[in-house]
Amino acid sequence: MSSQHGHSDAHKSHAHGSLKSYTVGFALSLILTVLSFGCVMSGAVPQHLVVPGIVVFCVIQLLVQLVFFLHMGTAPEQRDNLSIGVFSLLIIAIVVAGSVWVMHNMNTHMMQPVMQSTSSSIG
Amino acid sequence: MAFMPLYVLGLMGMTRRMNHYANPAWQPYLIVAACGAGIIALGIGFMLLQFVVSVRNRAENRDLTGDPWGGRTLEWATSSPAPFYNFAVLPKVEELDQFWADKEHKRAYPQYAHYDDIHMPRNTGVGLVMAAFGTVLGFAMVWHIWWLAIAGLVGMIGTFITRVYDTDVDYYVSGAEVEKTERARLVPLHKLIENVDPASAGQKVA
Amino acid sequence: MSTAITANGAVAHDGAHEHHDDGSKTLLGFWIYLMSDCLIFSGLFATFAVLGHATAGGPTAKELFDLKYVFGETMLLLISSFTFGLAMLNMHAGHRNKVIAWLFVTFLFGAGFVGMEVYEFHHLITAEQAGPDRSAFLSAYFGLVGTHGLHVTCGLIWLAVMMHMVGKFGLNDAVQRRLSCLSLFWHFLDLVWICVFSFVYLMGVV
Repeated sequence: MSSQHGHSDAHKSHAHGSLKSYTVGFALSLILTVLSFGCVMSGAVPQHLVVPGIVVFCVIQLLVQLVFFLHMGTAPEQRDNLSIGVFSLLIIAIVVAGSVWVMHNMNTHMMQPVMQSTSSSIG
Repeated sequence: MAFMPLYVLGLMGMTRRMNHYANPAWQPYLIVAACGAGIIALGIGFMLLQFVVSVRNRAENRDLTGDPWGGRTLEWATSSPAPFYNFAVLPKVEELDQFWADKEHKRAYPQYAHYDDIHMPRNTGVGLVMAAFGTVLGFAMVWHIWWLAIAGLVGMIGTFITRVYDTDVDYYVSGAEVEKTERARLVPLHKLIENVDPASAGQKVA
Repeated sequence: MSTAITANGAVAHDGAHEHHDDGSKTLLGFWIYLMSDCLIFSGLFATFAVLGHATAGGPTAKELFDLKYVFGETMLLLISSFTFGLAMLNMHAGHRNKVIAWLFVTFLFGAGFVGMEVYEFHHLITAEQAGPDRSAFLSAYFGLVGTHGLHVTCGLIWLAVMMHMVGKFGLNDAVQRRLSCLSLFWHFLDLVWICVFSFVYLMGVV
C-alpha cells in the first residue's frame, strides 16, 4: 500500500514544464504581441493584410501559450484536457460565428432606419 | 384530446379568457377539448383513488428490501433510505444491468467478513451560507443598494476563504460501524429473499 | 443467496484510497470549469462582435482606444503569466520561499494591470462621456473587458490567499493542488486577454 503514495516521475514530467519552456513561451508571446501591435501601429503593413495579420498572430500566440504555459499536448496525462479543450473550442466557434451570422442576416432583412439616433436595428 | 384542438383554435384566432364567443366554427373543437378535459378529470379522480387505496393497503404492500419493482440497476441494491456512506464496498460493475445479473446469479446483496474504513467528507453549511449572501448580493444589485451589494459580495468571498482554511473537512467511518449497519440490514434481508427468484422480486415480501 | 460471502473488501479499498491522494481529478474538474468560463467569454465576444459598430452617434473605438496604453497593459499581464510559471517551477522543486516571492511579483504585475484598466475605465466614463450606457458598442466593451478585469481581480485575491497559505502551511498537497488550479486560471486569463487586445482594441482601431 505504501507504494501507491509516492509520486511517480512519469506523472510529474510532462504537465509541468521547465524554465526553458516557460522562457521560450514568454519570448514567443512577446514577439507575437509586438508583431500584432506593429501591424496596426506602424503603418508598414498593407491595409488589406492588417486584419488577417492580427487574426493569425492571435491564433499563434494562443497556441504558444496553450502549449508552453498550460502544457497542453498529446501526452497521455493531457489527453483529457486536450479533448475537452477542443470540444469547448467547437462550441465557442458555433456561438460566435453563429451569432455574427444570424445578426448579420437580421440586419440585412430589416429596414434601415432614417435617423441614426432612433435606430432600432443593431449596427 | 384536450389540447390539440386548442392549438387549432389558436391558429383560427381564438384567444384565452373569453367570456363568450360568436364564431360557430370553433364549436366542434371546443366540444372535443371539453371531452378531453373530462378524461383528464377522470384521470385525476383515479389518481386520488390510487392514493386512497395505497394508503389503505400500505401494510400489505410494504417493501422492506429497498427493491419494490425488481430493479435492474445498482441504485436498487441499497436500502431506502440509503446509508450515509452509500455502498460499504464499491460494487464491481461489469455489465449494464449489474444488479439484475447479480440477482440472477444469486450473488446480490453480498456480505463481507470484514469492512474497511470509509473516507467521508464532513457535512458543511458553507454552501448554504454563501448562497444566502449571494441572494443578498443579487437583491441589492437589482435595486442598486450598493452598500448591501458589497456586504453580500464580501460575505460570499469571506465565507469561501474561511472554508479554504478549514483543514478538518473529512473523517473516516470505522469499519466496525459500517459492519454494524450492513449486518443490521443484510441479515434480515437474506432471510426475506431466501426463496424469491429475481423475476418476482416485485411481489409482496413483507 | 443465504450464505454470507466472506470475501474481503480490501480490493475496493485500494482503489478508493488512490483516488483521494491524487490531485489530478481536481485539476481536471477545474479545467472543465475553465472551459465553461470560456463559454461565458465567448458569449461576451459574440455580443461585442455583433454590437461593435453600434456606436449610436457616440465615440467610436478609433477615437477612444490608446494602443500604446493597451500594449503596456498587455506586457504587464504577459510578464505576470511568466512569473507565475516561475512560481510553479519553484513549487515543484519544493522551494517554499521562492514560491511566495514569485507569487508576490505576479501579484504586483497583475495589480498593475488592473490598476491601469480601472484608470482607463474611469477616464472613459468621466472624461470622455463614454460609459457603458452611452452606446451598445460601449456596453459590450465594458461587459467584455470588465468581466475579464473582474476575473483578474478574483485571481489577485486568490494569489494573496495562496501567498498566505504557503507561508502558513508550506507546500502540502492541498496547497500544491490549489496553486495548480490558480496556475490554470491565471494563464487562461492571459489567453482571454490575447483575444481581447486582438479583437477589441487592434481590430477596433483598424
